[in-house]
Amino acid sequence: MAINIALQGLTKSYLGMLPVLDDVSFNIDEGEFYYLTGVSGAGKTTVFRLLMLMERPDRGTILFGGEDVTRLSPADQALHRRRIGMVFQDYRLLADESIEENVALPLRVAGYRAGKLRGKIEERLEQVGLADRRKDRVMGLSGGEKQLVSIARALAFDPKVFFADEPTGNLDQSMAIRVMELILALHRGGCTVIVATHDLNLIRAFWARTLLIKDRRVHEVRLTEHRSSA
Amino acid sequence: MYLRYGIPRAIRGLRTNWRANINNVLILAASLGVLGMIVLLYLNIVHFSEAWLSDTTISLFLEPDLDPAARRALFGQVQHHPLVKAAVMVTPQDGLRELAEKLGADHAMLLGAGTEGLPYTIDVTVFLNYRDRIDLLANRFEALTGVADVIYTQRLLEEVKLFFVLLKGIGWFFITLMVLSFFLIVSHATKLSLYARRDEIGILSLVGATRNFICSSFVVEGILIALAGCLLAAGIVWMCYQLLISGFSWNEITQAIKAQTVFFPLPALGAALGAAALLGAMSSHFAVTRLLKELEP
Repeated sequence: MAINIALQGLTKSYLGMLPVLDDVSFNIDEGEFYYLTGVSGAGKTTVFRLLMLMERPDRGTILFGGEDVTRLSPADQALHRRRIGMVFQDYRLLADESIEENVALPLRVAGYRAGKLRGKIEERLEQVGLADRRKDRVMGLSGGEKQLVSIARALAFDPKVFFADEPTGNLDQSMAIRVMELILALHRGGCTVIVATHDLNLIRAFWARTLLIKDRRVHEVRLTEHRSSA
Repeated sequence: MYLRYGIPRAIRGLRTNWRANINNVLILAASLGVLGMIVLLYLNIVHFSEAWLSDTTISLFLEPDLDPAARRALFGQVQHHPLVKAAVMVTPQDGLRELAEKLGADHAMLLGAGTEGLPYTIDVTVFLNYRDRIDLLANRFEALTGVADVIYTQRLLEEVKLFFVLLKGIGWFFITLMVLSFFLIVSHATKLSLYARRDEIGILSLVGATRNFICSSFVVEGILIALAGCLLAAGIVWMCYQLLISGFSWNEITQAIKAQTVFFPLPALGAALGAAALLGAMSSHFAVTRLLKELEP
């Protein structure tokens, strides 16, 4: 079951400076696919940090399935993050661990038992095409492979919401297409998806509704559709 | 659940920062070694004092000018007291000989010493059941005509009671100091590990790990460092103890001391290891939760 996300009157500034986001409101219905775009430094990553509760907003509320998550206790914040699969441009993987161990991490955190855990890992590694390399250390992988591991980890326990921050930023075109197809497949499964990118070609190639962050505000924009995959 | 992740990550963390961790274990072992030596010294003093307190003998020093008939009469009076199990009259010559035997190789220091001025002594052994009344009995003997002085172990211990109180105070002061330094060393080691693995903490938070889950590997690391430090310290203290007692072989007195010395019993060592593990867990948990609170938005 997907979750709808709503930001209401959200303002965030750092160290008392001008706000990065000022009175931002938007609503994403359950099962929707949205791009979040804007120039570098516009505040795309800040939106994700707020949604992941890694930052607290100065003002405003963040609703997940109608529940205000800005007031959750640390233990409930952890449970909130388990509903979300997140992929970062810099992968955020345990470099000294194997592919398998990285994918297992959210499952271990959620307390999966050995048998069920192995089954899930197998399934996710098959999905991203890394099943035969499960024992390889992450530090020896290419950027694209690392991103696939990162996606497998994000999908580990069937997230209801999926965020990706510049998931194709460091990848060549063929790997970028592969990554986007995995994300679109997830969306087709009913997951609410937000992908942050400043690559307009990517948005045109894999068209979806788009939110633009400009002048500290979020606006919905229409970009010309090249091909509809969503 | 936590340990399946915590133990392998802790071992990997220890391997990654092995230089810093070896330093921490050595510092910990040195501190605990000093503490162990102080506690062992205290334990032996208590052991000796207990052995002395269970002593049931009283030495009666007689007046030097007492004639033989009066000595015999006094000896009879003491010997037939209902609380006395046995009594032996020790002449000055016997006393000197016994002392020479006790000194063994060092008896040369008595060469040229005569028996002049040495008193006759009556060594009294009290029935074990009346050990508690030894003080009363000694006072009664002291009041007898012809008895110059009375010496017994409990009275000697009374005189050094203040020394024991002082020793106990110093012992507790050192124990407190060492517990504090133990806590600081382990939490410092955990902090180093936290900074080396801060990316991992961020990743764990993002995948929904609770504070306890994140703590697990650091707590295991703290326990392992504490146990390693404690085991090494126990080894150092044991070696020092062996070295020290091997030197106690000059004469009968030092050999008697050697025979009375004690090392930590195994249950006490087990308890010390348990306490070290607990303290290691507490100090590392304290360091991690403090950092995690700082990282919270």
